[in-house]
Amino acid sequence: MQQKEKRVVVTGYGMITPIGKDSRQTFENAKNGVSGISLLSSFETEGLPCRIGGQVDDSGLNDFTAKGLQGIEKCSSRGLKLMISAVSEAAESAGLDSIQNRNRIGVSLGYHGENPSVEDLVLLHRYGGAGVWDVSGLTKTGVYSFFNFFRRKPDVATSILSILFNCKGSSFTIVSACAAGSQAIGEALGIIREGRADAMIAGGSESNLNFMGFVGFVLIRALSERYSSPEKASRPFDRKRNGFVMSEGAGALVLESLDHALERKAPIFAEVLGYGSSADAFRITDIHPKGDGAVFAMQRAIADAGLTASDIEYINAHGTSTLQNDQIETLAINRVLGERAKDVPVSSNKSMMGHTIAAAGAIEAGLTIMGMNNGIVLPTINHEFPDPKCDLDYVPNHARKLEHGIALSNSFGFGGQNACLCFGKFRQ
Amino acid sequence: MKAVPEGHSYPLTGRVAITGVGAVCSLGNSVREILLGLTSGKSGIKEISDFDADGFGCMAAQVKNPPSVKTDVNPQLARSMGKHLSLLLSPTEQALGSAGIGPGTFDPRDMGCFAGMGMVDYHVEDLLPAVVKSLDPSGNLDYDRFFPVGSREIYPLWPLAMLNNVAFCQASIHFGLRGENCVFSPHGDAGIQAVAEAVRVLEEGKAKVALAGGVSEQVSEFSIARARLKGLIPPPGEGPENRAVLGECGAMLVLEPFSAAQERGADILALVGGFGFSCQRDEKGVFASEHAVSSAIRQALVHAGLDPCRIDAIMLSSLNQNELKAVRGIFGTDMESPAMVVTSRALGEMFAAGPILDAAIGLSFEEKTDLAALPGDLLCLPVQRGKRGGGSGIRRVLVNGISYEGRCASMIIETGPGKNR
Repeated sequence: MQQKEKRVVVTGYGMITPIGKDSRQTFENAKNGVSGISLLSSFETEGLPCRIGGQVDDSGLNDFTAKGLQGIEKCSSRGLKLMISAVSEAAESAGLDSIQNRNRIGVSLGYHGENPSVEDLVLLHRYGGAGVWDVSGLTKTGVYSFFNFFRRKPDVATSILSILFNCKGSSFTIVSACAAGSQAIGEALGIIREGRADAMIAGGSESNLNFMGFVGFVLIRALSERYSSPEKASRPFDRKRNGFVMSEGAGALVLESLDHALERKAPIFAEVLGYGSSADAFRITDIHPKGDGAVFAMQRAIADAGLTASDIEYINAHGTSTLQNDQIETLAINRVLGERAKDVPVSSNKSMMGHTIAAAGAIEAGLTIMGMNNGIVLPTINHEFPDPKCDLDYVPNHARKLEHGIALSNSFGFGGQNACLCFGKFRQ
Repeated sequence: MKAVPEGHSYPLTGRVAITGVGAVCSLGNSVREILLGLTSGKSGIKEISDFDADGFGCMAAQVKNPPSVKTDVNPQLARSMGKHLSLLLSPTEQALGSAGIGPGTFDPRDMGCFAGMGMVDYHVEDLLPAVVKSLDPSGNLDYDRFFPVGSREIYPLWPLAMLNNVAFCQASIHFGLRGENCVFSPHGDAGIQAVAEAVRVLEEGKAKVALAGGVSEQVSEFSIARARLKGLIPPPGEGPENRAVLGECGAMLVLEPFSAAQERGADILALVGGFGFSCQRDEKGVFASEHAVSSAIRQALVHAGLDPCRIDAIMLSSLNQNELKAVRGIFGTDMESPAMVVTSRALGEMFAAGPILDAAIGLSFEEKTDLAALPGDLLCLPVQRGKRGGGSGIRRVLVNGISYEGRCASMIIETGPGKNR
């Protein structure tokens, strides 16, 4: 086995979420158990069985006009705009501009591109009469902008980020649904360890709060439809949970080899100790009933970190608030930690922010690091009715002061792709 | 020919072997068939027959009858995945078969899978009824009708057609691949990223075997419209010179640590030599710049510890001028230069699958292969008549994967002793 000679550290982080325009505000609100879920205002939801979501306050988004980036505006998806905000914060905290060799900085982004809008459907499906739909007409008339396609391509955001932040190294886009943000960080870790880059911007972004993005999840009945108020709808591990709440946001880390970070005297917020991924290889629409894939991803991350299960002090759970995920993730954690399982705090940031899909792993990675550095375990809010099948310490409703130095962060994607990251408090 | 470029060195600590290959494209349903088609001057580029493409006035290299792999996948899910599924399943089955890997050969948890997956598009028929039901008498969309009534006609599983990891997950299910995995998207560089990550997990001991491959876009109204609006394919009536033609393809490699592959008696088809990656768009904002392509190639050479003169053949991603300038800047243009082959002239632009198929073809060149005898369309003048093309042996092949958004990648493979068995 190749020796992992290069230690990889986190020298910057940033995020924009339904509960904060940046990391600090998000963490403070999460610490206080503030919910970011509300009635949706970004599109018409009347008649839909779910009308709530976690929306990002637009005032936190970058002002392209003020920054002289008007050219970016027309080809920017909302997901890219969210990501630019998160990366700006991360790059600034890492002092990324000070790195001279830009060929050795890469970008790893979990992102799926933008959904078609209702207007896109009308334009794409120009009615040719007699039931004939003239899709080819869109290239003749000039009424359909290439930028509509451009925004849908998942790699465009990555390339624009590379350009904006002057990163000329390895750049790629990962599409693995809810595991994409974590996988993006995990792959970036591997690239730095391997020596293919000195630093990587890694993270994920998601903006599904538009009609076409939202209605798909409504129709497959994946979203919470029974809630007394929007703030109470996302309730991971609670007996009355009944689906997830769709949200938007972005998260980014700057990863760097330890040597490189020390040489340039960069701030070091944590160490990325390990990463594991796995496939359920069970069913596209269902999780493996024994949580095999989740177990394997966690075990891989722990082994990759050179640790054992007894070293784990906190788990930032995937915790989506669906019946299936929360029960099976609980089973998987029990299998990995064994007798210690009930003594290790496990919490879900999604109880406050909802599910930010491809961004979730990256946002939760940032919050895990902040929790370690502040000696605080963030809570799982709306945990009111214990579920006998969810029998762990979920840090119910209130944040907890707890010094901890090693944590896991889980992300499990639709289709059966699983990812787990292991972070440690930085020690020289 | 220029000397080894300066650069960071990150040598592979152990060698990784390619022990299996599989591919499906417009010229055939196996690497052998495809190579035979290419060397006999065939082209897969034809009139589009899958759908009414009269309005587009272009051709494509489609896979007309992809070989079916028997699965128990739900028909509705299979429909959502479209041709992506068969373009992934068949090459994977071929690759595992050629590597001699069947159920029980490896613990499924030790089998990794990495792929570059091309763009996917929603199915018009999934959404069309919602629009039809919401039109006002003048044919415009009545939003007051669309949201409360029309939208109920949307096919519930329509979003699955837009997730390009779904077919990948279905392949994991079908072949029982439960190890490390990742999906990259959507262009040529993504295929090489997949191979690089597979090599890394093998080097780190996180998997005992890893599949790495790519799947193109399905040729459809959307993919053609997207390519045309981007300027990649010409408008009707204009010649195709130096423009792309869309092609369909799925290609897969089986990778194993060299020593382990030897130990289990696998054929060593090739060794993976090195990789390079870069990201920088050209002034037009369409392709990777010459500097970016050059940087990726130089990194791959340094990674593999090779001088440019040790490269026998180059599989070009396209006939893009930036790529050509970069290649000629590093390898020169004299008779000693490596032969350059551009399969996209016969097979179309295969996006994430392109470099994987090129690697499979590159490692299939035999000792006696005379590249100069390849049809002129596939060779890049004026260097094809160089000594490398005249039967002196093709051992080391550079494969490029170029994105349309500035990213580019290169990898080097070295043919192994088992390739001609």
